Amino acid sequence: METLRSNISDTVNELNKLLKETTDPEEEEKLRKLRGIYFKLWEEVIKQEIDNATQEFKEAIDSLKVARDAAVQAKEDLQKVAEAIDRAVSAAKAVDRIVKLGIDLFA
Amino acid sequence: MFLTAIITIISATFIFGCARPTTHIKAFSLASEELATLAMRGYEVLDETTVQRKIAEVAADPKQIPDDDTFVGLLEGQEDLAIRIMALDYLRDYSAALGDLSTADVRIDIDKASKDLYGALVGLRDTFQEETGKDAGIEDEDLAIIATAVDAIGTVIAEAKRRVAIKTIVIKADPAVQNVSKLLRDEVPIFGEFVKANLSTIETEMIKSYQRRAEKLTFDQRVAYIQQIRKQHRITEKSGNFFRDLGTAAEMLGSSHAALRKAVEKNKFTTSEIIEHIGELADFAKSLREFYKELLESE
Repeated sequence: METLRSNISDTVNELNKLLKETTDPEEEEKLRKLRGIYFKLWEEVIKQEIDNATQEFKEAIDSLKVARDAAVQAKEDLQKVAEAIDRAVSAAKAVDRIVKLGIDLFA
Repeated sequence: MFLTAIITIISATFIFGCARPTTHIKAFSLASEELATLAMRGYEVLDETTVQRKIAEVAADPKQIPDDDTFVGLLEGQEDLAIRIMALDYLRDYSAALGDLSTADVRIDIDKASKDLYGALVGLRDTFQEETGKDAGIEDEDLAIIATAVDAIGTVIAEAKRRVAIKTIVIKADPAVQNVSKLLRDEVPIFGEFVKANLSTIETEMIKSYQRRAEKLTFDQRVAYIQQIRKQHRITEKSGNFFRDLGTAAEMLGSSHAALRKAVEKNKFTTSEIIEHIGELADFAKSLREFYKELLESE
């Protein structure tokens, strides 16, 4: 069964891989901030009882997959890093709609 | 000659068997105690790697400065998460007290083991209920039955009554042990993913730092830096196995206790199944101990 925590874990790992590849300071800063946000969301997911039968849950899982795919593509083509960051922001927002941490997301 | 040897073996079995039929209970308790301790270390690793990751995040960005949150681990201040360590602590105390009770030679030691056992079982029950909101499976009446059985061992320790007491304890405590071990089995691997991401983040920032500085470093300095990254990489990779094994260890604590229960229900205090479980618990403890040592050395 899909879990938010595993999907967040995989997304953080992909963000880390992308961060290793990129050399643009602005993109590096954004990736680091995003990664920090994902860790905060993850802590909330561990603490909370998450209902995995909701539409919001499904959307969050799908968004995280899209974010990971975008990060994988960006590793191959660094012109796509900005797009990968946008996807990761959208996925973080989707997770935040569930855990309701109210994190200040950029972009 | 052959007959003499057979008689010697039978006599030895009889003599030692009667003197201390609960040797394997003690061995079981020692192995369980160590595994519970290592599982507690797992939670400490979770907390410590979280702080180390936050430090790496702050250090990676010159515009950031450390604040109070930088030094707070995942469990600190989270009562509902920290309570897992308490449950493990009680599981360890239970194992130790059971072992002490199985080998105590004088009444004063029996009384001490009995007191420790009572505290451990009450703690195990209460922390499980607090954690899950569910019944742990051990009632006040069960504790009273255990106390009566232990009391019956007497001032001059009667082995037969000691066995009855151990049988009572193992049977009555088993539901709580099973519940706690199942909770840990399900939960520990979740925390393993978090630890691996913490360690992977630290490794990433070490590589980024190397990228920034490499051109200004000498060959020897670059090699030394890469060796540090390699060490971190090994720890990151191994951490996944460590937590997977901790989850398995929690499950084994439950299955070993279940095997013990099955045996004592038939008034047996040693069976080939128990011996096998003890061996497996000891092997697991060894591999977990080695990883933990490696982790400490990397700090």
